[in-house]
Amino acid sequence: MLPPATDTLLDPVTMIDGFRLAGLIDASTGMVLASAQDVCDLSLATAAAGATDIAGVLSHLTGAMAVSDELEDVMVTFSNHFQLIRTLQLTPTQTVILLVILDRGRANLALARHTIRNFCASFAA
Amino acid sequence: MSEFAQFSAGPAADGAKPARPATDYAESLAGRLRRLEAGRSTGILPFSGRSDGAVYLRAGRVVGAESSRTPGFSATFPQTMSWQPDLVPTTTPLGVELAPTAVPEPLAAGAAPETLAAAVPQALAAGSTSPSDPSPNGRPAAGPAAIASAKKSVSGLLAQLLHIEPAIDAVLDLVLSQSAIGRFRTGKAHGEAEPISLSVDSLEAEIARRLHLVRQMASVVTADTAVSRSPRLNCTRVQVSALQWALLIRAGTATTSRTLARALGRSVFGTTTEVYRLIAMDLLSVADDAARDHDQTQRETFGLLEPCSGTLSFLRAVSDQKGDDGMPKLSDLLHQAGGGR
Repeated sequence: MLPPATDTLLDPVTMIDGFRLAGLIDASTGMVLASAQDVCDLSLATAAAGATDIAGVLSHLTGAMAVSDELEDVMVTFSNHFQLIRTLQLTPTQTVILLVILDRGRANLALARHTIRNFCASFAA
Repeated sequence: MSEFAQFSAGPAADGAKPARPATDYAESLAGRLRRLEAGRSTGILPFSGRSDGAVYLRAGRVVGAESSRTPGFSATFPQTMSWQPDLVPTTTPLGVELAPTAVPEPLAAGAAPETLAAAVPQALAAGSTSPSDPSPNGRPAAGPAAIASAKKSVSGLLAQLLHIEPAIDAVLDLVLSQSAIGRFRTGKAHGEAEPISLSVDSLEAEIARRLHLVRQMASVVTADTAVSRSPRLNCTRVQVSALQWALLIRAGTATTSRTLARALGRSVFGTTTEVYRLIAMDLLSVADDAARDHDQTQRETFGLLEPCSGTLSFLRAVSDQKGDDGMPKLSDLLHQAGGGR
């Protein structure tokens, strides 16, 4: 996990209502590149590893289905929180995963997704 | 010989000098780095053996690393340090000249990472891509110039973050190779600090996580397992990512993840995980069955591997062994791997 000095990278997503945790993860290695956390009751390492596995499985599914489509994002609903996972193609050979966990009681999923989509647009070359 | 054979505590099957217990090696390396961190040391810790290489430290933090068996030296070499001529040879173990006068700009973007990072939230806070598109939180939308600046900043900062990958890849290779740790050589730091540095704790946790993943993959593929494109597909259509396609077109004849990593300028570990996924999709296969059987025999001899689950799980890599911060600890993992004999 990289140093906290890099974590301001994720400040835009920390402004989302109900924000609890965010991480930017290298899709190939699973390494957390940057993170931000509102409270410490969630394990970033576990959440990031889970998001990497989910993205990997869905990419495998996309490959097997071969319908000329790409994974854009994943929304997982738990009883108390949302997990949003979005893949970002930085270069043709470099993909990162953005994971955002929100408090379900305080978050507006549509607005959150809008903000995350705009944030991810900032990564486009 | 596969990485895991080198990493194991058992004797080498090819008659080479028996490896030291992996636990001893890991504890020795972690101990060395912790002492250097405590002393806020600046300089180079060289390695020699199956992999030659070095770990670079600045004020006790790891700012770069290199290994002769991994690509990416130029990306990780700390360019804001010089070494005292009386203590250091003119070349590193890899033959790269350490010119004391060479002090390039610390950042390609020309700004400190803190500056870049601070600019991003300001420009992106509005969350809008158009001046006429108000942000959902009611803040004024950023103009095109601000958005363009933010894109450049975010991309630049992320590129810097990704530059640490070759260093971690090199350290992983040095650990797997159990290269001999040399005498620390003091250096001098000047200019701004490297954009990215790692604490020893962070490095240890990341290496431990990767070792767990290497262990998961090793019954199918290692960085040195020869693979080739499968001669025929079991399905009519398949879709792959750009990276996977880049790997596939280079794997027409037998090659290894390490060779592919060099060809693409990517980390060996990251390339091996992608090769593993391509094998799972039946697009790549192990090129030489005899070599695979030989590797498997070695792995079974060393007792390091459990039957392959067939699934690479990043989650399992952090949930099987957790430290206080939720990340696996290298020493625990190596005790687990090498302590059974």
